[in-house]
Amino acid sequence: MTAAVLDAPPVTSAALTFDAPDAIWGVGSAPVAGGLVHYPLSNRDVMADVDWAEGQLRALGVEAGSLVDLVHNYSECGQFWPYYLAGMRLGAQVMNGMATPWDVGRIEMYTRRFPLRAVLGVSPQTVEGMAVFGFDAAKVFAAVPVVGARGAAASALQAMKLRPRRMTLLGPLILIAGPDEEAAAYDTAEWILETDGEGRILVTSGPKRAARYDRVDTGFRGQVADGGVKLEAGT
Amino acid sequence: MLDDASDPSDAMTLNPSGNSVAYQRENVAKWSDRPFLDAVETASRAEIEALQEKKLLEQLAWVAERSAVVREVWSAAGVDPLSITSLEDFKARAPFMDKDTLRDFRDRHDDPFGGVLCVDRAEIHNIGSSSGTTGDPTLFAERWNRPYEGPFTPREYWHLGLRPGDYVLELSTVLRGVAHRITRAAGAIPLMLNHDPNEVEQAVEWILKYRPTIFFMLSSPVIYGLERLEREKGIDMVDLFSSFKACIYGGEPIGPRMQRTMDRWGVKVFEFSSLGDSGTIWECQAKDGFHAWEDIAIVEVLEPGSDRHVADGEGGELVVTAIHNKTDPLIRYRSGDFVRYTKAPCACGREHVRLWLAGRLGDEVIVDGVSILPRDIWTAVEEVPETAAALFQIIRPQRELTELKLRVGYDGEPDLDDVARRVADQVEGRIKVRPHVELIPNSELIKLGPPHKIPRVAKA
Repeated sequence: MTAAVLDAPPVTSAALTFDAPDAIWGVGSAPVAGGLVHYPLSNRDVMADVDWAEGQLRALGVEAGSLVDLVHNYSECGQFWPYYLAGMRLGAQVMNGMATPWDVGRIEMYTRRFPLRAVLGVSPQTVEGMAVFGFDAAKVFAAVPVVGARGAAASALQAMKLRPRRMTLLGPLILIAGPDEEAAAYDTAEWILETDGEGRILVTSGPKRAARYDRVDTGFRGQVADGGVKLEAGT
Repeated sequence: MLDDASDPSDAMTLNPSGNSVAYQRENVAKWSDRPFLDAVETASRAEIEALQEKKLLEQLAWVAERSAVVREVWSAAGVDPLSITSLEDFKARAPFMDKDTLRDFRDRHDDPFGGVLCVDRAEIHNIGSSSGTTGDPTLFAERWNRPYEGPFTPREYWHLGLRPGDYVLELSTVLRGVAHRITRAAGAIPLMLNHDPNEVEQAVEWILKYRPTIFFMLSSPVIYGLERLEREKGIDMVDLFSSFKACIYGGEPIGPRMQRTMDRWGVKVFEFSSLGDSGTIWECQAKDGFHAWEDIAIVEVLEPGSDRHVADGEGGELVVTAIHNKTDPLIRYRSGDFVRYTKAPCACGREHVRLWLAGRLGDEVIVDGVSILPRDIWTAVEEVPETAAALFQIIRPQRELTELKLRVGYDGEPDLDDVARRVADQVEGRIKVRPHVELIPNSELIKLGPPHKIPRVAKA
């Protein structure tokens, strides 16, 4: 069962203030320790996240003319949508695939037909699906300069001699850590991350955000310091 | 109406919803208490056809210069696109293309878009694709600053009752772009969840909290998940669906048993389907056929394998020409879909062509001379309680077969030999062909395809 982060539905005055910063853009969901929570994002939230995502993508070498494949499920639009707009702001073209076993054919197709700069969001289900549907993940991703893989997918790709970035959906945040980096940066202007006495990473939303996260346990353990998060292995 | 904005910077700038600022401003200006969003929706046949002819001639000039596959196909046919003088002239002389044309061009020229791309790649925002259940996925290039080039438009939602500020429950996939762009263009707020029968419990919770107006989208796997939830948790489905003005169903036809289930739940269901890879067609409030927007595409219905048009009310192959899409338009594209059509006025007040779906050419099998489509055996599979979700596939290594083989999903832990016999009895009773039935659990069958539909034919 999910817990609402939003106490009440937002005021539905969108007809008059559609593109106003405070108007609700949509309701997404985020995995936390207690299961999935649903939370609103305002137009302002989206654009703030686009600003952050733009910096992340630029650091991965995404530029005008780059091709970026975002691998995510629909419930993860709240986290991934800013990466679409950020890619487009940089002049990149964006494509997408789902983080499910059956959709690996599309991911493979994009890598075969296009010189992709980045595939971001590869999931354990993706790697599993590649094996089930007869694709060699090592070959599929060999020519892609930047592969962002989540959880066990990162370890699996490393075992195939690839060097994926480690991506994590830390509740409503996306973290991307380089292959040799212990910590991943996060947007300190929008989120407050901290740990409790047992090392659990808690997330609190910034005052301007529509959602009210208040020290919500993300389900991950680790350390938070200097705008970076170092996740404990296995969490 | 669908023109580019006069201010080029507003036309190019995307808002937080991924739509151009100019388009959104134009859309907001349309919002009122009127039943239709765009004036062209209620145009007369004469007005529609005059508009089509104008847009067609513009489109032919556009593709003659820019579409590599159009140049190749028309050159081979000895027809100059610029020599076409009218709608009738086009229907008499224009050559056809189909999926194989695009695949062949793609492979010969190493062009992922099959030669249809008419703009510089730098102008593209998003590259989506079909699910690829019948081969390498078909690509769709989208310029998000160009309204009404995507899979559907805000018109459909508006007519079905969505108004700015409403919530749309989106149990969706990430295939061709993202549905929430259209929801936002319509001024509504998307509630974004996965299209997954195993996650419908979360959808139930969101419905009860937000009471959305539109459900996008229902499918046989999702209804299967909801039925299971009703059985196991005793959810009041009538209450659950009470806030929805429209529940959009897509992916494949609705079987009679599933229709009865939705009737029992009081679901106001409206179906949609593909318009030959040039958009989608939707049922309207009158629920008497699927409307195609003829200011966006020219619709023809031809005898399969020929260039003869069938009469109004008759069935044939759907052939589509995109006249609004300037990014990757398909011109006289044979879709492989069997449809019946009419241009008679609809009770909803619109005269845009209406279509009724009969099936896909590629889904047909011939067993000992008998033509069989998935919908021919749908009801039979639904009639057996253990297979009532109608999750099944026809095994089709080739079109002509000596034996009909079915892979059928089942629920629970039944006596499999008994279930297979009863399914075979039901099928034989309806189509006079006794199938060989392979049974696998529904949960396994669902994994074989995209979450909104089961691939109804499989090679093995």
